[in-house]
Order: sequence, then C-alpha cells, then structure tokens
Amino acid sequence: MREIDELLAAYLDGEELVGDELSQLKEWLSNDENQQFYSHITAIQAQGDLLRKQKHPQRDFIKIKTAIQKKRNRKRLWRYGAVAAGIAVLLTFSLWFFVQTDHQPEDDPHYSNTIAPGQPKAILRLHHGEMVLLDAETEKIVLSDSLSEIRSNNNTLEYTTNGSAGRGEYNVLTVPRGAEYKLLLSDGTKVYLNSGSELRYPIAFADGEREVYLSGEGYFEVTADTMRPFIIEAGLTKVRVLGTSFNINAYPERSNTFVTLEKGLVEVLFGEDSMKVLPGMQVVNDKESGMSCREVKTELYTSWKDGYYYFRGQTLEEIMSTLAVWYDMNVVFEDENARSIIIGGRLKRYDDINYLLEKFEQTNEIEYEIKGNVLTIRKK
Amino acid sequence: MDITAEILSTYQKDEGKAFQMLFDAYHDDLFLFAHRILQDPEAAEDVVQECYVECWTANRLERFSGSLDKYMFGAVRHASLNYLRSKQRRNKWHEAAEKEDTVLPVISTEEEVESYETLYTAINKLPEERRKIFLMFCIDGKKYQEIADTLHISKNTVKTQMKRALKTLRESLQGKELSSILFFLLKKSFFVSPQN
Repeated sequence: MREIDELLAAYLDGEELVGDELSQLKEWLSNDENQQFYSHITAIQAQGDLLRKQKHPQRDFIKIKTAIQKKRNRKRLWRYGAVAAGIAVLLTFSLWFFVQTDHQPEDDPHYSNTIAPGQPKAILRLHHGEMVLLDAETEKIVLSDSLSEIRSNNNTLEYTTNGSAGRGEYNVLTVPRGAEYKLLLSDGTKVYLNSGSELRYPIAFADGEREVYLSGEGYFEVTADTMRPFIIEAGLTKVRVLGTSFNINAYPERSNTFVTLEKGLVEVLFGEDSMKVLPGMQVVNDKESGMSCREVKTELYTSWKDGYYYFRGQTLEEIMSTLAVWYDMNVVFEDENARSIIIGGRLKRYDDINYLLEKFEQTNEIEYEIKGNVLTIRKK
Repeated sequence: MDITAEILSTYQKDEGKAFQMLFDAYHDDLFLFAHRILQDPEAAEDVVQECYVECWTANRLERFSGSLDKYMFGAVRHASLNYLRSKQRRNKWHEAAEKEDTVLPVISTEEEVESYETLYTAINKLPEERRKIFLMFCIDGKKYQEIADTLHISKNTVKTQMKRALKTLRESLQGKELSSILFFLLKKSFFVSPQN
C-alpha cells in the first residue's frame, strides 16, 4: 500500500488508482482536516487557471522567472559614472517676509539634528515584476536591446523605443517621501514626480490613446500628438490633453485633487462631470462638493518642479504640510495658533531646512526645535 | 546561514543587494498570496510592491529581529485586507466594474486569510526544485510528464517531489482551525475530478 501523500500525488495527476487505493483515499478524505487540505490544493490549481485567464504576464510562472534570470544576466548593465551633484538648483532667490529684520544666525541652540532635503531617488518596477533602485549618483542602463532602451541618468529615467516594442507593457515608478524624480516617456513627454508619488505607464504607447496612471503629484509636459490624446488617470480624476504643460496634485490620502494648467488646453473629468480648462486656471475636485474652477497664480503650484517653493499668503500649516513630504519629517504644532500664521517667500528646494526655519524665527512669531525627524513649532 | 540572516548581514554592507535578495526570496509567493485574497493580479502586484517600498523607505532592515518571511507575509496580509476594505468603501463611487468570473472560494473571514498565509509561507519554504515543481503543477497547470520534459528529469522524480511537497504542506496546516464556511465549500468540491 502506498502512503497517502503518494496516492494523492498520483490522483492529482489523473492517474487511475487500483484496488483498495481508491477506498483508502476516500477514507483519508472523510476526515475534515484532510478534506480541507485537499481543497487547498484544488484552490491553488483554480488560482492558476484564473491567472491564465486574467492574462497576467506571470501566468507561466516558473518559465517566465527563468527567462528573467537569463535576460537579467545578459542585458542589464550597470555603470557607475562620476558622482553627480544631484542638486538641481536652477535659480537663486532670496527669501522675503512680511516682517523683515536684519539678523545674522549665529550658534544655534535649536537643533540636535538637521533634516536633510529630498534627494532624487526612486524605485522602478518593470513589466515582469522586477524592481530596480534609482538614484542620482549611479547611471544605470536598466534595459538595452535592439528595440528599446531604459536608462537612468542623473535624476531622469529615459525611455527610448523603436516602433511598437513594449506596447502594453507597463512599468511603475515609485518616488518615496523625501525624494523626487523625472521621467522621459517614449513619446517625449516629460513628467516630474514629486515626493510620495507614483506613475504607472507603458514602455511604448499604443495607437489611439496615451494613458498613464498617477498617484500623488506630477508636473507634465506633454508632447503634442493630435492623433493620440494623452490621458492621465489620478484616482477619480481624469485629465485629457493634446499637448501642454500642467500640474496634477492628487495625493490619495487627501480629499482634494488639484489640476493646474500652465500652457495649452486640457479637459478634466471627474465622475460624470467634465470641464475644459484654459491656462492660468485650476480645477479642484472635491469628493464632497464635486468640481470647481478658479484662477490662480500657477507658479504657486508648479514651482516645485523647477527646484523651488513659492509661498504667498499661505498659512504655516499649509506650508508645513508641503515641506513635511519633501523633507520626510513629522511636524508638530505645540501651539494651535501657530498654524494660522501667514508667511510668504521663495525657498530653494534643496536648502537645508534650518535656513528656512531661521528666517521664520526672525519674524519673532515662532520658535522651532528639531529632534530626529520631528520638527516642533511653538508660538513665541 | 538561513535566508533572513543572509539578507540582514548583506544589508550592513550593501543595501541595494540586500533589497534585491529580499525581492528574489519572497516576491513571487507574496504575489500569489495577495492574488489569492484579492483575485486581481494588478492589485496584488501593487500591494506587494507597496510592502517592499515601505520596507525600504522605513529602513525596516536596519534593526530587524525575527524572520523576514513572517514579516513580509504579515505585511502583505495586512495591506491586502486594507485594500479590500477601502475598495468596498470606494465602490459606491465607481460604476460597478464587472469582475472576471471568480472561480476561487470567496474569502469571508480573516481566519481563512491566516490559513492561506500559512500555506503560501510553507510553499515559499520548500526546497527550490520542489517548490518549482509544485508551482508548475498547480499554477501553470502542467501535468507531471510535461514538467519532467521541461526540467529534463524523470516523471517519477516529479511525482516523488510532489509527494514530498504535499506532505510538507499538509503538515504545516495541521492543527489549524476549520472555518464552517470553508467546510461547507469542501463538501461541495469533494470528488472534483482531477484536471485533464
């Protein structure tokens, strides 16, 4: 008599059981626990069927993985170029405030730590699931064959494809808090991804439509292609463009999505509603109240991509919520009324946050302290 | 050295390499586990990636104690259930998206999710060749002869490996509670004919 696992193995492959073997198996299965195990196995088989039906690229599970191993060894080249500065300061601005004072910052007793600004850093997930880490210091050729190339240089991930190679193959670029990255898609569209954001996009676009999926914040410079409108899906908001420059702020944990248009013409969709927007306008999609539109100074909402923040008439609370993501820190207001202090100014994105906080302190309205990655703000 | 210790010691010298090892060790089985709960390959892939990203950005490998597989499977279980809950909340905003015909028993209790976690963790722990054969059979739907031909081994070897895999998996689940719903489904699915 064969042991039960052997019988089970034979039975699963469709082998005919002889003599007492079938009744032996039946008896074994009459036990609840054994029956449960058997159903686990058939459920995994059903899962395999489902994966194949869902046409998931990993449906031929083991075969694909072996192919990836081979491809990885042959085609991925890592080149360690010179350490890049990684600091993209394009413009110099000075800080100005509503209350101006002259003051030299001397020895600072405020902090036991500095909170570093964000660095270019991102995680790329390829079509077949493989993940690659990207940073500004390492030039990487992620993929290079006769049909397409994916290269990470400085802080930009560039896609070059030949014709239709890579259509329908989606990659995902994830930018964690405290980082940022740029993407150059195969059609020439440039995307700036802010901290805590993610973009899902195909290696090459199909005919008809260019569609990508955004979570978080991205600034898009879409190349004109009247044959193929560019569509960005960000949660419940959809933005449809022909060729233009605009910013989408759609962090899933916030209740509002903001689409700010700098150049060109876009159509914004939200549930059943849609709105066509002109430059200088911003659409706000609110889960409770729906779509609305207003005129804004676009620089306030798009300057981050050029390496600086521009605050005007915004509360300290709003400013801190933006900076918290970029510097990847927690902000604690010890005094509630410190939240509503209005401050304006321009800040280079890569500045040490202490420089900014010094200036805030010079208004004589607040005090701050940094411990680890927690910034505490007190009213003076 | 077991895989957790290997990854953690590599992390001290080369973070990127350790992360790659963490990916290679668990990614595929984590995906299967998440897919079992969510029945949606894109959502499953997203959830697994989120867990890896969280592990990386929160520097979890820095001062880690315990076993990495428990941590990763636990994280994916947690994230998958959260995803399900928030999906239920979001459903009222979307047009009812027609789902693929789901042929898997619908999971209704966290208890059942725990038993899946035990199962997929055990699959992950199987020796490499055995795991490969088991998954080629169950997930790829290949019969033993096909597997034998692909791997250039005998059909007997395949059957023996399957036997051992079944034994190990069965033992890993022993003593776990049966949920009454699953029991009911079992009664119906018993004597399902073996795959053709």
